[in-house]
Order: sequence, then structure tokens, then C-alpha cells
Amino acid sequence: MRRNERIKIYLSYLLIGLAVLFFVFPIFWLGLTSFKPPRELFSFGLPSQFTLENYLSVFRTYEMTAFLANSLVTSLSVTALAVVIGSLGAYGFARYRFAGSGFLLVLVLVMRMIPSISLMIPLYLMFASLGLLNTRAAVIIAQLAFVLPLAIWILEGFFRSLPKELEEAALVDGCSRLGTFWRIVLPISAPGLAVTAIFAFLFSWNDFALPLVLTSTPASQTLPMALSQMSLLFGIRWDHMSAASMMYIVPTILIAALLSRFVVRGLTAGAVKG
Amino acid sequence: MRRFNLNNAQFGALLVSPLFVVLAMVVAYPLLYAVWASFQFFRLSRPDDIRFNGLDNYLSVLGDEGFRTALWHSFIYTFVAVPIELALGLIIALALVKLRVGRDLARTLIVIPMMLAPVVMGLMWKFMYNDQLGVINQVARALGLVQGSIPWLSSPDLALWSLIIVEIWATTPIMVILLGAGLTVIPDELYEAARMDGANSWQRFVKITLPLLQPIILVALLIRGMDAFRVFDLVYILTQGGPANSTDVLSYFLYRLNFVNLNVGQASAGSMIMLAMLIVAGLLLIRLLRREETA
Repeated sequence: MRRNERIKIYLSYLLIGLAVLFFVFPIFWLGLTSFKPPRELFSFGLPSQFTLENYLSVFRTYEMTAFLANSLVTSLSVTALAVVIGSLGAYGFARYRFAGSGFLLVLVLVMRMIPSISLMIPLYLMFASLGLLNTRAAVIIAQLAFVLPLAIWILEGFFRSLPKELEEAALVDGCSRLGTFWRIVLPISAPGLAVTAIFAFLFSWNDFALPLVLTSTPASQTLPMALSQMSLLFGIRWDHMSAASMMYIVPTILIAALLSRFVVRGLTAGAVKG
Repeated sequence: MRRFNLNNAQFGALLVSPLFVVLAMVVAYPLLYAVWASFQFFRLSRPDDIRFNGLDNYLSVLGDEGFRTALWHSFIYTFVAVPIELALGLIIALALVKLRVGRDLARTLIVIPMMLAPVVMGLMWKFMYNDQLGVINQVARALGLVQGSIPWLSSPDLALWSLIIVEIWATTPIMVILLGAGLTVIPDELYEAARMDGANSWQRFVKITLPLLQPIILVALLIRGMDAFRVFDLVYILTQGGPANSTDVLSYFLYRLNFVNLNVGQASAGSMIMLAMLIVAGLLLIRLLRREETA
């Protein structure tokens, strides 16, 4: 029995080791490639020297700062809007009953199932007729269509899990309903808001489909557009691609390293009891 | 402070109103527009000639060989990738709870792929899949597994499976997280009691772990299934639907129909068919979640 148990633990370590290798290797390989001299890009093994040449070359060849700025502005705007609009809406659903509130909540949750292609076509036509193609605003507004349902999904459950007594006490003590939300509910909801912000940011930062159809100028395009052009226009420039990709995923890796418990929490929101 | 005397219902409605203003603009209106467009003869190349044509778009899309092939590919993609992810995710989640040291670090490392941009996933795998020079073929040759090289993305017989491998790599972490969260909720006493009664570890897994995980397994399967079914970015980056349409999935087919063939009417009809399938799956998911909550 004892020995059996120990073998199982050894096996678990072996298995997790293999899993980590499988999941991390492609990222490691991309990172290693980005520091290789262009001649050695495909060589198997460590480079003869580590160089920043690929990174510098990316900045010389493309308008990286513009792409970077577009990505940052877009993602941060989407995050802020999603947190503000999402928390108000989710709180409304979690604590108040009004005509059709149950149905409307289900409706919002169902919106999560909409495939991006179903909205891509009409959104493209809509922004084209408004003259908003090739603007950051178009991408920001369009991404909210996908981020807000997710925000409601996470936050509604979060608010509902808070003890009602705190809010009731505040209301009895003469705090207004909005004041109760602002001074009592929001401060203790920081973890839920953080989860929402992270998912909104990651969605927007990673989103490819909407910028693809809504933007075609460097003044409005985000980083994934820059990457896909590096790969599609002139045959793939792997030296540029690897360096640009590494810069692009820095925020993602930081979030993974520092905030992974929030990510875990957001993913399991609603799916797991307790 | 309270200048307007709203009752609670009105206050609740006020709170959700910004949400619905935005969603009306970016979800409801576009969706209704797409419904309308799906019943029109509507080509971007002929903007002055838009007219009602009944069910023509639906009939021609459903009759289109390309659409049916894409639908079939989406089904293969979903129904092969998701069960494998579930099995791998369950094995990894079970091993992860056994770790004494390094559990958090291992979990963090495993979580990274699912957070990456699909564009980067696509590009890094395209680099590794490279016929002559990619690291996968180099390793396979070094180990003596193959003589020449495996045409991962350039062979019509193989490309869809290569995509499925990337999908499994990218999203198994989600399964690990979901199932891992489910595992921690199962009380240890159950396992202790079963051990007292002489149940071996396989019996404990089948009689305790699986039944108690069942609701989460269903939810995870549905969430992941819906995501896999609408895959777009990975296909766009890795294969553009090729070679020889062998990786043309539903989203990519409709994208081309609209933005390359400029046939808005048919593309809208196709996206409505796809949406209907996803909503059925989605309502099922919400029912499962609600039932779990009331149970």
C-alpha cells in the first residue's frame, strides 16, 4: 500500500514533467529563435551567439511603435469600459429584479455563444457605412460585443456570492443604493473586478478576427495584424516573426506569472460550485 | 443623495441600461442585420442590386459542397480535439493534485499556452512544423523515426490533424484548470471511507471521482466544444484553409464567402445556420449550470 502510493507520486512527477515540457517547449523555442543570428534560425541547438539583431530589425522594418500603441490603447480602453459597464450591469442583475431581468440575463449569457464570424460581417458593414473603418474606436466598440457578455458571466456570479447582509446593513444605515454599491460592494469585489479586467485585456490584446476585418492601415492596426502581415506578405520572415511575437506576448507572460490565480478563478467562475 | 425616487426595479433597470445600450449597438443590431441580409440577394460587388430572395441563400449554402465539407471539418476538429483534451486534462489534473512540491509553479507553466494570442500560437507551430527545417522534423530525423520529413501542413491528409494537435496544445490547459477546480471540491473523507471498505484506486476513480466530476466535465466539454467549433484564427494563420481545402472549417469558409467572394447574403445565411447550432449547445450549457446550482 505505502510503496504503491509512493510509486504513484513518482509517476505524477514524471507525468507533470512531461506535460510542462510539452506546453512550454514551443514558447521556449520561439524565445530562443528570437535571439539567434538570422543565419542560424533553423539550426537545432543553442545559437553560436545571442543577439538582439532580430528585435532591432523589426523596429527598423515595421512601424512597431504605432502597432504597439494601437494595441495598448485598444486593450486598455476595452478593459476600462468592460469593468465599468460590466460591473454596473452585473450588479443590477445580481441584486435587483425587474421586468424581464431573468430572461435578459440568459440573453446576455447566450451572447457568449455567438461565433465571431456571425458578427464580423454585419459589424464590418455597419462601421463601413458609419465611416469608422480603420479607427481604433471601431475595434474597441466591436470587441465589447464579446467582452461584455464574458464580464457579466464572471461578475454576476461573483456579486451573487457576496453576503447580502453587508449591503442590507449599509442601506438600513441610510446609505444610498448607489453609495452602497460604490463604497461597500466594489471594494470587497476587487478580486472579481481583477478577474474581469484580466480577461477583457487578454481578449482584446489577443483578438485577431475583428482588427482583421475592421482595420487595414498602420494607424489603426494592432500587433496581431503586424504579425500576420510578416507571415503572409513576403513569405515568412521568421527572424522578424519570432522577435515581434516575443514582444507581443510579454504582457501575457507577465499576467501568467504574476496573476495566474485570478485567471484560474475567472475560468472556473460559474463552472464549479463553491 | 437620492434625488430621483426610483423603486428597486427601476434602479436595477438603470444599472443594466449602459450594458444594453452597448449590446444593442454591437450585438443585437448587427445580428438582426445579418438575419435580414440572409434573406436578400446581397453582394458587395453589386451594392445597388439588393433584393429579397426568400430562402435562396440558405438553400444554396446548404447545397454547396464547400459548405458541407467545411462543416464536416469543423465537426472532426471539434469531436477529435475536445475528447483528447478532456482525457489529457483529467490525467494532468489528477497528477497535479498528487504533487507535494512545485504544484503552483507547474500549474502556472501549464496555464501559459491558453493565454497566448492565437496568432502567436499559429506562427510558432508553423515554424516548428516546417517541412525541411522545422524542429519537429529535425528531432524526428535525429531519433530515426523518419527518413525524409513529415509534411505536417503541406499534405492534405495530414494538415487537419496538425491543426488539431495545436488546438490540443493550446486548450488542454483550460481542461486542467476546470477539472482541477472540480477535484479540490471533492471531500477527502469520501476517498478515506472507500479505502476502508477496500476499494482499489481504479474503483475509487470510477465510483467517486468521475461521478462527482460529471457536471464539470459536461460544462467543460460544452464550453470547449463551442470554442473549437468556431475556430478561425488558428486556421487563418496556419493553413488558410488549405492545402486543397483540407482544413477549410466553417468560420473560415464563411469568412471567405463574405470577404473574398463578397457574397454577403449567403455568408449571412451560413453564419445563421452556424449560430443556431451553437445556441442549441449554449442553452444546454446554461441549463446544466442552473441545475447544478439548484441541486
